[in-house]
Amino acid sequence: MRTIRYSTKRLGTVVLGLSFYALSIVQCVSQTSDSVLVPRAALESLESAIQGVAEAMKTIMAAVQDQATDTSRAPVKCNPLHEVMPDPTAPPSPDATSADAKNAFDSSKLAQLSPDRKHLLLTSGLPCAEIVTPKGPKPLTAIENLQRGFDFYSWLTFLALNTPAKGPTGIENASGGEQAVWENGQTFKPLLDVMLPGGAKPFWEKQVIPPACQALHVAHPDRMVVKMIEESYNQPFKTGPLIDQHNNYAIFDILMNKAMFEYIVKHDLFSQQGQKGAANSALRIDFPPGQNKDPKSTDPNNKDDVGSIMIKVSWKILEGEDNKSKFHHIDALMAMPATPDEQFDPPCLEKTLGLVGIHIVHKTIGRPQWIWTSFEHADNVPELSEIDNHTLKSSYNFYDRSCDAATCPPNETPPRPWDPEPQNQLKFRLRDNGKVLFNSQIVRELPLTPATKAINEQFHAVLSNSVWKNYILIGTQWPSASPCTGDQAQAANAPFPFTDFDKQPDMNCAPAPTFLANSTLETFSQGTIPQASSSCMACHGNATSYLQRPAAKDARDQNDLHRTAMGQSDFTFMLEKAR
Amino acid sequence: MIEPKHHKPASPASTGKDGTTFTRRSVLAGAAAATASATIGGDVPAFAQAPVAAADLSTFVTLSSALTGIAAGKLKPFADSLDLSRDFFDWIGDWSAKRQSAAFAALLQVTKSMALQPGADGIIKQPDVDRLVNAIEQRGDEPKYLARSIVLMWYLGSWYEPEALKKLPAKAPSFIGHTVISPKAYTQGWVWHVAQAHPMGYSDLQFGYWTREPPPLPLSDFIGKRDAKTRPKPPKGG
Amino acid sequence: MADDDIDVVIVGSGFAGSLIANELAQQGKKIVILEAGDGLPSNINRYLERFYKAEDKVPESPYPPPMSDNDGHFDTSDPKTVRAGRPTLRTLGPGKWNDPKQSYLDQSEAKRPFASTYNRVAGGTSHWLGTCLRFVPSDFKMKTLYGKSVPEFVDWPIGYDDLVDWYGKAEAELGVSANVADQKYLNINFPSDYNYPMPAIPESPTDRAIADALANLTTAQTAFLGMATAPTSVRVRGLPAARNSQPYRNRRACAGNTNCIPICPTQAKYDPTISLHEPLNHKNVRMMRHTVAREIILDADLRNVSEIKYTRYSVTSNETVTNTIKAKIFIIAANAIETPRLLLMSRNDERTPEGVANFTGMVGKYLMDHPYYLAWGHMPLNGKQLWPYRGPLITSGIGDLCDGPFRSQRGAFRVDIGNEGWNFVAAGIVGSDPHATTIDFVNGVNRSLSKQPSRNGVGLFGPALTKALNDNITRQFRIGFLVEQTPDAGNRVTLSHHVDGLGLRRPKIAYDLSSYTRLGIAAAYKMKNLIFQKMGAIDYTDLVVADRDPTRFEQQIDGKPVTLNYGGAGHIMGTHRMGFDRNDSVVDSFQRSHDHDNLYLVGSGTFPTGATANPTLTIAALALRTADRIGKRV
Repeated sequence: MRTIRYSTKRLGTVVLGLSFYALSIVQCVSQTSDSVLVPRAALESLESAIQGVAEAMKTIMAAVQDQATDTSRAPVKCNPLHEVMPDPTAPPSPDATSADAKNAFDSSKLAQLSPDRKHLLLTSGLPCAEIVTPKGPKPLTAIENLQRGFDFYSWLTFLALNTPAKGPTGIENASGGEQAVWENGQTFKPLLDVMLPGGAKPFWEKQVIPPACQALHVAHPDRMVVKMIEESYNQPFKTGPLIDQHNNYAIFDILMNKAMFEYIVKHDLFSQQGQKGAANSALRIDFPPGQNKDPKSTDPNNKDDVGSIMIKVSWKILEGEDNKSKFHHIDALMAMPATPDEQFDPPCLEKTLGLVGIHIVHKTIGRPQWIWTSFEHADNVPELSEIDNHTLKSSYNFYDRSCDAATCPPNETPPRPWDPEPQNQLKFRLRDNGKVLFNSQIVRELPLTPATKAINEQFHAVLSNSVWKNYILIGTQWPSASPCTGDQAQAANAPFPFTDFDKQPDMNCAPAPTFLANSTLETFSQGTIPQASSSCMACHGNATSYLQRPAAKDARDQNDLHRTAMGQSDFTFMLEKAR
Repeated sequence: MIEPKHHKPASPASTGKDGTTFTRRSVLAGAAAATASATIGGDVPAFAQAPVAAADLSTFVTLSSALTGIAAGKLKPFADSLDLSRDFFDWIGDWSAKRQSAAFAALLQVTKSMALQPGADGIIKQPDVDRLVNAIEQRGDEPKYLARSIVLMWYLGSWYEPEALKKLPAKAPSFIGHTVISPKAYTQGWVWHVAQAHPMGYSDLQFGYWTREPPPLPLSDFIGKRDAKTRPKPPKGG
Repeated sequence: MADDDIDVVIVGSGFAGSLIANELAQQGKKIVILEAGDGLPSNINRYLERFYKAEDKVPESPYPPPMSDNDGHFDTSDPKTVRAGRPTLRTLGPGKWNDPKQSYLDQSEAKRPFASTYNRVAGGTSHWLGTCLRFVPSDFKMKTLYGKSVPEFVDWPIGYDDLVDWYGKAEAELGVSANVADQKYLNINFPSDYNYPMPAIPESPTDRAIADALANLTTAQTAFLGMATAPTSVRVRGLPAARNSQPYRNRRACAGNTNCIPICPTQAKYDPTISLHEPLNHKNVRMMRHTVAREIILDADLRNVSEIKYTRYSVTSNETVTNTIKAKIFIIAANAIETPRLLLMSRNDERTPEGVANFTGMVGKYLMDHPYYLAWGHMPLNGKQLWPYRGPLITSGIGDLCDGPFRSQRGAFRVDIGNEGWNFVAAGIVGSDPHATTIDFVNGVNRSLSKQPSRNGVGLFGPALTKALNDNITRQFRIGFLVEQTPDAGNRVTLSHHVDGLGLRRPKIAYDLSSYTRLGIAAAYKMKNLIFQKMGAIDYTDLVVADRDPTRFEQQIDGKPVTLNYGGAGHIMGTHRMGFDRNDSVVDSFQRSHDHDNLYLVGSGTFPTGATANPTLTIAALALRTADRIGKRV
């Protein structure tokens, strides 16, 4: 049975809330500056930046008003403005001369901003695309400066997506139970609502509710419905489930934003048959990229656009002893996966889910290999150094500090069988005597860099009233070989170039950092072994689809278009899930 | 089965961490510390304690570029996520320290004394390469064969002892042993790119790529600077 | 699971063992798998790490027990210290292959080396290439068709038609990529609505070059083949392989890592650990790793197997525990050398001094491989580039020549077309390519004897080096010929007096190539000449056969002596053959021992003849057929 997720009335309420929100920002902006310690040059540029923000906010507000009547566009607009909203935490440019400027790079800088400016930063919105530069003060290298730019962009993205969907609190005062923008059903859609049984056509406003959850869904229409399949508890390519310290399975889910959804529907990619069809025989999968409008361009197609975003989340089931206020959490309806022998009707469980990990992947014009951001809950796992130096926290979500390495060898998968048994309701099975059989003992193998830790501290300082201070950026992976990325860079609507051809010999264009793993999502693939250890781009570069090319007219014609890009995908495994 | 997670190689170690290294570099503000010494356990010979100046690393990259025929910008990209040049530099530093050898210093010195200008494609021209090789070989067998070991490091990701290269018979089937420097070094080997392929066991390409020949581009597109003029346009309707 | 509850014990978790475990687990049977080596890893990271660091990237390099030290250098432990040892490629060289202090297999009295290896680890010989060929119908009837001239041949007790549906099921389980139309040769047939699970893997430029070369031949050129009609063209066909051409069962499609042997980094290639995951997800299935079966114990009247005695060893200490395990049905799936070894070791307090299931005395006899004739060459430097080191190791081959009247005179052969240049060639002698070629140019030598004359030690550097490497490497290619071997009683597995780390007697090998087989290799040689000539390629095959190569032999071809050699294809067959009659076979067509009702001996050891196709798909088809039969029994 299909239901419309939200009534128009509700949508109107959300839009009004946003307008009110935008108004309050404009009011803040028109106040004069106050006592923040910034050097004059920077202050002046900050002032003009803020003026620019005010102008832009007016435009955004107007656009937001438009959306009250236009329900076909995603209400999440993107912000091209962080180019004019300088990163106040960044080291000053090399030509800054004053002593203040030279000493300005310190971790408390963000906290020194006035509340208005902090607010502006935290609400600057979803970046349309990255703005990064290799320039910066010595001894930082080009790649360190670029990495820092990407990490800053990652935080802005994270904050924008997790902004409370309903007013009046903003992200800086968000409590654990407030629904985030990406969860409101209007901006992101779960993969399983797109790749439907039988390859049926999906509709944005329609949600598939499993039979077992029907009654509960009617009673609680706001709750997120999580339809579980094997990948909901078993990490990619069957690398293993993750069991928390309260014996619950960690739950994983994948969602896509509207731009990706529309591309999939437009090209009939939601079914295997559609992908294999003749209409797609020349298609190169090319999800729309985000871009900042080029101010010099007169092309009407050149506009700010957020482009494609896909996210993958990991949840921890929160129960009695858990401190809910430390987690962003939602009440959800969980449809358990069918057992292979289909003897049980999988039950629908009411659970409170706490966010413990999130991957945010954003395709932009400058980085058509996508930008790969990963955040985690700060209490998930210790780093090796914390264990060695005995600086452990009092408790972790996926690590027991009282269990030694011999009894609880780290990063091991649970004993088989791995499938959750319906009668255990998402708890891992116990021993015959009722005692716990296994809880995952997970350690972070690749430590966060000092630069990433510093930026986390900076943002936490201004999120001290928010549940989001409990989350840390793990890192951002981005393609670093600039001529290589440039080969694929394209203006909106330009034709996609050859895939295998232009991207030789490295279609991933040298991911930086080489390896990146989220301790909850790539738990057992952490490390530095090429091909084997987790690297977002190295793995996703292998993703394929069911696209087929017709036989070449001349089997020997090397330039025959139809020989290229067989089964090609655009760094996503979503298309493989079509049925 | 319980296995050590990161076993340290016994012989002159690479940095041991194949992941990002800018953590270490950030800490070494001023680049004064001898990274080489961090990788040798125990007694640190005098050579290894010499500071690793950025200039020396840059000279090593120039030397490598000349000998291998690959653009310096490929060996050490501007935004370098891998830091392979540093791994190799450290490896040779360790090796030199263990053998109390001045051959590497000699190679760097010779390189610095020459003007080696790359062409527009970033590749140093043959006459300059030949001059450099002559000058190296005049310094003796040690630098001569060390230069060859360096080329093989970049091409194959393995360390071949200069002594073993010297002893190889000119014309008879014979096996020469080697040590793989690291998984990173193996998967970044250049011989495969020179062959317009990829290392066996490490493909960054997508399904079906092999049924087409590699693009009819100059080889420099694989090992030098890309040139927009020589890149074919996509076909219509693509 | 209590001991007396166990339905089935399976010794070995390779292809046959894993597939049978998977089938029976889905039927809810209670199963215990005994695996001599390491268990199922949660991922292949350690394997890949070992592979990348290995000095010699031989088939065994990723898999435990580690054959190399921390620096990747080959470890020369005496096999008597290894508890679940295995033959390795590194111990096949001159001076090693017949020295029991280095070689796990005792070949000290073998006339020629048995050149194939295997693994003992969960998943078995996961280093396989992935080839999934069906036998051609004639392969099952070698006695009927050719037995008059070749008395060694016997018929299989089943034919192609008995297996056609099981082949289809095996192809679904393994995930085979091929096009039906391309595979209908030499009377191979399919049900009318049959489709392979996935479309064929696309061919490589080398495949096309050879196909072009063989498109226009004269009957004079092909008469030597002895086909019914001398062909005027020979077709190159895609090689059906358990290699994903699309996402399949939660595994990625092939990305062309050119590394199928020894390990696919993305698991696009099927290996038995994939089938093992499923049964181990059932509460009724248990795998005991580091558990070596040492004796099959029969009951009092020697009719049935009552239990298996095993030794379990620790990897962190010298501790061992010996115990027994009972079940209703016992399946030995340990491969065609380890299975006869176990049977022969099972003396039951001298009640069965000839071993278990050995009424015929045939256990261990008729050992076969596919002797592999490797040829390599080079297009001229002004000729076509072939672009090796791209794509799967092998994408196409020639199967059309594996049956014909010539089979009454000489062994048939199938042709492999390699995509990996000279990587496989002369590896033990000069080291693999592209290493060997690179060293030759950089060091100004000519060890692989394949280049322009030695540069007298003058190295090549800079653009001259890149040009030389590009010119040469992009024109390399190699082909291989798998030759059918006759089942010879003299080729056999017995027990050596040399023991392993558990004190168990290691396999002893007697091996030779019959004249029939050597004539097959000679025909392969002539085919090689034809291919090279038509390609316009320069043949380097002969140049690196060292004087000490233990596989070299001389053969008179067209009146002249030619030196040939062979390698092992890794296809171990024949040592507990199936047949109609309990007097001349060890098992029936369901791989059940004629002698013991509840004992099954599965795998390629049951093949009475070897054909030319890689055995794996037939192993899988037979395993599924056997599992179906056992499922009805228990």
